[in-house]
Amino acid sequence: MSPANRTKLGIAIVAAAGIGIVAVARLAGYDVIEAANTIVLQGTVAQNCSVDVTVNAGAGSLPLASAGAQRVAVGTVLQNCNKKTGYTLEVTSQNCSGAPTGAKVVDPVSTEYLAYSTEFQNPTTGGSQASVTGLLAATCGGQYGRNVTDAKVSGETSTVYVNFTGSETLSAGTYQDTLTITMNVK
Amino acid sequence: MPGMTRKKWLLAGAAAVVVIGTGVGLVLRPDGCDICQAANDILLQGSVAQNCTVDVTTEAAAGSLPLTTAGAQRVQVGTVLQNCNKKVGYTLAVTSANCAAAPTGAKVVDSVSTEYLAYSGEFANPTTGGSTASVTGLLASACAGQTGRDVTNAKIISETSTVFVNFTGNTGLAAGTYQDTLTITMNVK
Repeated sequence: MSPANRTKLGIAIVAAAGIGIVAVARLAGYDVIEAANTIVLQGTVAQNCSVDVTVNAGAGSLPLASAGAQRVAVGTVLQNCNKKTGYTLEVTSQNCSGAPTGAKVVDPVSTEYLAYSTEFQNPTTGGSQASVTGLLAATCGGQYGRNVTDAKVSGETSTVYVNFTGSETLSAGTYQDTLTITMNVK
Repeated sequence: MPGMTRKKWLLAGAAAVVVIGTGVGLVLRPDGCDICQAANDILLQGSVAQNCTVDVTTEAAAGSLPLTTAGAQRVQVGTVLQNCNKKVGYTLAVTSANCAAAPTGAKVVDSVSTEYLAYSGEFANPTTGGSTASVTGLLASACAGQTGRDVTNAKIISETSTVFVNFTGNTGLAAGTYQDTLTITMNVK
């Protein structure tokens, strides 16, 4: 190799090494710069789901001894829920599991009873059925008065009814049961 | 600010956001309950009024007792139709207008001659509610607490008891009109 060519080769090696050093330095620089300049923006909206039951006066004076089919509005259920996955309204009866199975008002003195079923009248938001009947008539668990899916519900009201056939031969006394309405958020 | 110091500040800021976020969540969860159950009961109640009655039908024979026919007499004087929807039951008490006067005991009396003829009451009952089928000797020697029927733990729908009087006829009675009044009362327990 001539002296001139050796010189060119030396310059080329030095130049290549210099570029490599610069490249290494820049890669390390990008790691630090990108991490330091990321801003995570986040906000949380709390779940706010509630039911508010208003009891009608008719619930306290059921016409048990009036012959024939009776349908009495016993309360309203005001609902609010900002959880879009939805919720169910479950209804249970305090006396349901006592034999014979099914909702019934009971007089503890005479031990006589009168069977009834529950009915919900609903807004149709979130795929809810407008009318759900026969609740608690024969089954005590998994009785849903309303099922809302994929919808926020704001200030909607369902109406609760009880249906029964009056009996003129009931013993004198006071007959009671308690319905409990539970909102289960999905 | 050197790179390292800036990174530390950013991490501290992120931790602060996490802490604040958790705090907000804890405060709001009681309102945004998964299962909202409190105070959502509906008390259902109905009352059935007490409806208990007796309806006494007087037999014609009550007005023409064979007082002077010798020997033991047993005369049906009335029937008592009963209805009661109170399951605890009731009693039928029987009293006599003349019982308390001496000598104590039921008797038909002639107010003119003041003579009398003693008798006793008798109830023939359905056996619903543990009732005794035949209750005799009522008012014979006691005037109070005379129970013709005792029903326990049963509703009674249109049942009838029959009332008799038992006496021994007396051919020596003075001429006159002999009377007494029986009163039958339903006492609901």
